[in-house]
Amino acid sequence: MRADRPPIATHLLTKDYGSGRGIFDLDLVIDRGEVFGFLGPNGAGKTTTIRQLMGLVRPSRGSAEIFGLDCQRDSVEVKRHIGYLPGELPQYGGWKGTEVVAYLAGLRGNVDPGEVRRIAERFDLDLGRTYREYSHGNKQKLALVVAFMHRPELLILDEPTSGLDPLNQHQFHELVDGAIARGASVFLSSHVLSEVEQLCDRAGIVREGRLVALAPLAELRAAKEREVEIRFASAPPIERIRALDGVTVLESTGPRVRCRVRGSIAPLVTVLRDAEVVDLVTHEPTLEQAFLSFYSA
Amino acid sequence: MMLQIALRQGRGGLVATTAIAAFNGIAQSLGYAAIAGHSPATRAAFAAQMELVGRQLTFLLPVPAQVETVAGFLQWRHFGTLPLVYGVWALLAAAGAARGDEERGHVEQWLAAGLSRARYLVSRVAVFALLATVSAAVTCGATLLGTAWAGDALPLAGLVAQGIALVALSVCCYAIALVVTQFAVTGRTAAGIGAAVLGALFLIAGAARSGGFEGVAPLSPFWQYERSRPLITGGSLDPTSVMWLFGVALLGTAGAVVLFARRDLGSSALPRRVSRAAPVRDPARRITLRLPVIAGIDRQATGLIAWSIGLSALGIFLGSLLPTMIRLAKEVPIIRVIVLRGGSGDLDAAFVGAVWGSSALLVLSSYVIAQVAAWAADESEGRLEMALSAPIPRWRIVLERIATLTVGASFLVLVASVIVGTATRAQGLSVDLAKFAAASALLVPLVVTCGAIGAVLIGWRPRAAVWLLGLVIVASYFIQQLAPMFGFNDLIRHLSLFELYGTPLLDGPNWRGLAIQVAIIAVGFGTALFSMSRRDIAR
Repeated sequence: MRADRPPIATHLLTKDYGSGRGIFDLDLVIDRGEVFGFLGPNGAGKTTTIRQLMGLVRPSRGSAEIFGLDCQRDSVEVKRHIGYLPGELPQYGGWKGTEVVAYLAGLRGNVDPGEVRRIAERFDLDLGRTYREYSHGNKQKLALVVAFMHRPELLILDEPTSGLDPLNQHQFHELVDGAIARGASVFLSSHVLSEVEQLCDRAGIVREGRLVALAPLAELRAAKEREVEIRFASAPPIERIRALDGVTVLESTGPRVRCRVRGSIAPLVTVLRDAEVVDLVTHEPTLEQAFLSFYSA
Repeated sequence: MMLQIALRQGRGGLVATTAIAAFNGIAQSLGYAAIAGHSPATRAAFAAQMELVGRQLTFLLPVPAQVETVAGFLQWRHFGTLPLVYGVWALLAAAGAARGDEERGHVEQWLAAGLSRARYLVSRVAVFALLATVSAAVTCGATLLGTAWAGDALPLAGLVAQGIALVALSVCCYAIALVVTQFAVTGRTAAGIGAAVLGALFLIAGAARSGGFEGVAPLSPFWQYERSRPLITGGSLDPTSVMWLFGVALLGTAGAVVLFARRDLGSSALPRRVSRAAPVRDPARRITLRLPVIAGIDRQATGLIAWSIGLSALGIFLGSLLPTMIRLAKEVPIIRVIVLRGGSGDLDAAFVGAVWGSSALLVLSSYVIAQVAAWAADESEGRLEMALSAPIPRWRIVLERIATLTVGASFLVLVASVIVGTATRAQGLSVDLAKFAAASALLVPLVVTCGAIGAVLIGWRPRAAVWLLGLVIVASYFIQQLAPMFGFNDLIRHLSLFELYGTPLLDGPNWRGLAIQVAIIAVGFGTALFSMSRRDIAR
């Protein structure tokens, strides 16, 4: 491992499954201490990328390095530094959670049982039950225990909050914050924008196997457009709304106003404070819309 | 929709069962002509010998009748063994339908789509009945073809009636297994419990032929099946027993529907104990889970114990029949020819070798198939992916598999050979213990050889590996069993993997075979190592 090299660097990384499936010419560098969100719809190539980083799938061309080590050639050394959560959970049938952890810890070596206990307690996960008895959420928690138990320098997490309730999602966010605080880096795939927004410093969006956008979250947030629908009890303060910076009125019919807001919604809320609002609905933009608005800004 | 899905799920079982049954039909028809000849005199002589043999094999096969005709022989030797084949198919199909698909989450999806539990189970039974009918028809057709090839003929109406009896038995076994599997949780335990129940019913029928369990024998579907003997002159399809079989199938289906309706999805029909234990947060302290190879043995500890009990029980059971079989062999020349493989030698050693060798080979081959199935499942169920996310080289996976297979097979052979060896001595058979130990030890390389072939197949086609290996082993078994009967030439005989084992109790170790096994192991695992290091890990 070379301390001066980035946690992840890919160069023209490609896995071509034919018929346009796979991932193509991915150039990406993840910085130390960064939480990177890899976004995209199902089948976009997120898991294929992750599996190449893990050395499970061989690239058709291009290369991937982790801390300066080649993901294929130095696969064993690479994995000493990685905590991995697969997108599709493994099946351990009649094994108890405690046995799954012990077996995988045995393969890895140097796992502190105290760390396992701390993470299991955080998620309120009973390791004494058989894997078969676990709900989807509990299986996800067990997979998170395995990914974090050896305090890795890099976490590669494929859809990490899938199946977790909001309380446990919060616990996961704290776990990631803790990992970042001790100097780790995180590469996570997701198709939930709000999660990426909350956790990540930077995000890339992949569509049909190609990285179509890459942006810091702060910029993305500033450029984000959302649609707001407001119904007033009396005549709407339409001129005051139109005068707001970043607000475009799309439709105004009677007491109903539909507008697009770029950036913060706070100025609009200030205007609405003096009006009699009956109902207010905001529409979260899709990933595509968010990125499109970012690039059109 | 459900019918289409069930048909799709049942394709593999249909093909495998029909292939075995049809092949058996053709082989037995041709074998009869080859061994019994075509003149009434040779057939009468053959029948006299076979009736003697048949009386000693009533624990396994029905009592023979009219063996001087091909119809009588096939009624006994072919349609008498098929209940075992169709019973195993029914069991595995029922365990898969009732538990396997439930484990995989398919049943949950189908029920969520609006399918009722009753309709689900009834559809599965109906589809199995349809598949069993197709299979029985093909098997009867193949048997007819076999007899025609051999220049003989079978009564068509009798053959159709026999097919009906076979379908009735299969559906009955399926329904019984369907009820039993409601009390299990996983497909594997369902198959285990179902095997115990159907096995007990099979043994009751066998014991009844020798005068035991006569009071309860009518409760066995296998006993009911044997009431029909439509192929022999004067015999017919027994309507009462066929109605009984279909009646039990209906009752069993209804019982399974009731149990399925009352239990939770993914749970047993038995009431579940509620755990009040405090939550566990620490990893297991068992050191065996953390050591290479030993962790693999730890994972299959219960299975290994079950396999060794099964192998020992089979060895003891067959061993208990040896004195009678040896006595019989002295009276029936054909048996001597088969056991001594056309040569000469110590009959005690030949029999112990033939019975222990062939039964152990069969059980150990099944063990290898189970191991290869576990390797395939490691990949398809994501456990291999998780193991490789740890800092271990890929070659370690292959080496651990070889080592675990070798240790597991050695354990099985050691336990079973000690028990069988002791039982054989207790029977008063004069077998050289050193030779017996060597013959037992030589089973291990053959198991590893099969494992090496499995490892290559896993690297090439993980999803098809189990079926392909099963095909290799079944073909090897049949070639070995049929070679003396049909006088196969050396080229065909050497196609059987089991031929590499030889007859170590009779002729000492087969060094040439051992060398070939070592070569297969080296090339097989070498190829598997290369393939594992190069290929993508798929799910």
